[in-house]
Amino acid sequence: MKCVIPGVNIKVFGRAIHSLSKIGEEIYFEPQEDGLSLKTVNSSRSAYSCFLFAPSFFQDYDDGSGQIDSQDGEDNGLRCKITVKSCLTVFRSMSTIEKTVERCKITLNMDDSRLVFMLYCKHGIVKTHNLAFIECETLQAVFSKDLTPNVLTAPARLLCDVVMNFQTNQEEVSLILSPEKVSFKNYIEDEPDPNKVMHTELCLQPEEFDNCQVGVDTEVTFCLKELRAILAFAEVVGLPVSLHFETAGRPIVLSISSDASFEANFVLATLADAQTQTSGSQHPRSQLPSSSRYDMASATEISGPTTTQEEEDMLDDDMDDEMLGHDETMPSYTPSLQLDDLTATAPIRKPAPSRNRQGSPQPSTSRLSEQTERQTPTIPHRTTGGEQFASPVIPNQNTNTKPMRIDVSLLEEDDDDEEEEEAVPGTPPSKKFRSMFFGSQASTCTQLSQSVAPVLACDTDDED
Amino acid sequence: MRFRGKLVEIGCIHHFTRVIGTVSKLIKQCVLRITPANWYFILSEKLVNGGVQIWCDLPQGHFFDEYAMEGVCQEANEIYLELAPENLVKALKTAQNAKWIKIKLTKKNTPYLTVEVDLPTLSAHSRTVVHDIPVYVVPRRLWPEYEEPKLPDFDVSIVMPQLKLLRNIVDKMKNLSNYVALSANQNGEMKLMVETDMVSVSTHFRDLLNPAVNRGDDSEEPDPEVFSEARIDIRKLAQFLVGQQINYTRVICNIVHRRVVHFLLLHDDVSLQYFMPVVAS
Repeated sequence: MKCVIPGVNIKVFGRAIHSLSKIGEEIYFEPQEDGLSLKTVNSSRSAYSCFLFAPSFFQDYDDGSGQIDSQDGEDNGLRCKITVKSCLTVFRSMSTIEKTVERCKITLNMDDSRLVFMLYCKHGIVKTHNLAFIECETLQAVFSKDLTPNVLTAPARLLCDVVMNFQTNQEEVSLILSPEKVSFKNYIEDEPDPNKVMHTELCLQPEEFDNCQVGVDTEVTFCLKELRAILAFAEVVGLPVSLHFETAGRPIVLSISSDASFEANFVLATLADAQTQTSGSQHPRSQLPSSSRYDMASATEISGPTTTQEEEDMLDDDMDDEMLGHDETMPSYTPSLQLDDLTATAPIRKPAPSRNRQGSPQPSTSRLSEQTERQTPTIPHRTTGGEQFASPVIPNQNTNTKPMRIDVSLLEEDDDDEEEEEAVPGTPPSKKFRSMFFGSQASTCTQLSQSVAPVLACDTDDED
Repeated sequence: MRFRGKLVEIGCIHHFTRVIGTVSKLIKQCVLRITPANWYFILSEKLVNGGVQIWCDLPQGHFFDEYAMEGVCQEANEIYLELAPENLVKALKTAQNAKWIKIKLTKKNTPYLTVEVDLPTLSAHSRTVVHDIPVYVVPRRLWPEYEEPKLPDFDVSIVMPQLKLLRNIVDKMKNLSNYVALSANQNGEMKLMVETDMVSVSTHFRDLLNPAVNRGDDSEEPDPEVFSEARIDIRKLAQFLVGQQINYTRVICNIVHRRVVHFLLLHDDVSLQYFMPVVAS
């Protein structure tokens, strides 16, 4: 793998790193045929971002797939992740970099297992950063931004002006869309007493947007922190931001794209609406586990041997299904494997149709049977009061059947735990964001790319 | 009960923000008293809670372009609201280049002080942001608690040196002790002193002005060389100095020997009074 970023584009690349750093802890670095992709996901799996820098963005681009081919016969290039911290050291001061760096060369030093950033500065100075990386599977959230009924496109400046009106400690913001107006409101429902906090609402005329397509009147609530990170990038590159969204509980996709050279997509979980929330809270299953568990989940992905221990720990405090999915996958670093802990994100509240919308033509039952055929460990689903809850997606591991058994046993304990927890008053409220884009991703992936080992989502209806 | 006001001048908006910013740095929760002529921010702590009293008055005509109010009743044409000044500042901070700000009292289930800001846009569309600040309406029977504090007879009245300078000194002293002894005399001298078992640090200021003090006829002129002293909580003093965002025309410190310190800060028509009780040693 080798690529050279010309001086004019370093700013964009550096700002992209900065923006990623505000979202996740690690940057997934994936050289692909169609460009270099940088991805990250936040610790609670409620925000995902992906930059794809096309080969034309670079002065010189070689994704290194040929090289890998010869080495271990796989058709996928190397995928690795580096910590945001280390990557930020390279691009810390953007103002200096913009002024001095003439080009930046990124190479992979296989011998020392280092990702090498070489900054060629003025006066022949070369700064070399050797960053340690961890080989990993690809990180892929699947979302469909083209099919959403609502699309807003706005200059970054407009959205920045909007966001500026909210307090820095404001966590979430609601976007309320109707054909007459677009308004942003601070989300305060989770406050102990919503009447005791300040309400802020900002209304915009639809004409202020470059494009305002209202398919359904809706209100979606998402995190402001990530939005700020996205806007910071969009403002620097001066490109408009498109928001693609549907209804509460479905992810919102923000995209920024420069015609030929790069594209950035950000997927943010949105809060399920009050109704779903209530019904959800009646069913322990649908409670989202705390984000820390997700962290651990991802940790297991890297640190194979320790999993069992962690697993047990997790069990102790009502661990969630994704862990189960997890342990099977970690021993093997199949590059094609979808990032399973992501896919396994818990309570996906949406009924199956949502997935169909994303391009899966199969009805849920057939998918289920397909799964069984492939011996994918499936997680029992809970059907609750007529409402469907897609249970977490468990990645498929074609080879092993063993985890299946584990899953079940774990699950049972799991249930008990959760029920117990439910009974305890004063336990922290369930996390409200559903990162369904990882859940639904799996199925779509299967549909879309046959080459990829199928990661299957099971549906909620018929097991219990 | 009605209130509606509109600020248009950007200079007024900035100044208004700074004044309320200063107040918000001093107190978390205060009472806003709205009268036809003035806005007052009042804090009146019970002695057990420290006994700090703050009285800040802003003549409304200085800030508001439009101002309409209707009090509880004809004979008591006033409104008392309890609110967190910080919220008001946060709302005003978003209006630093606004075309206008409207402040009004609204009722949406609970009472709010609504700040409506018209933001500048590049296009012809108007863009407004609305902040609803929750308020608590103080019932009339509690009004007497928020009367303007009576000024005691001061032993010493002195014009303070630059607040920035004082702040630096007090910030350093803060690390040594919890209390500072503030003393001054009628001869233009002021002294800040911290004392611990290990060390005693004092800073002296000379050639300060002593504003004229109106005394009763019977009290004789005290010796100008005699210092009046007040031992106060140094963190409170530091907090008071740090929070200042206004360039005051004059800052006066009045001391009643071993009883109370009274800071009077003046800027145009805005005045802020801060009563800091002494701490017994």
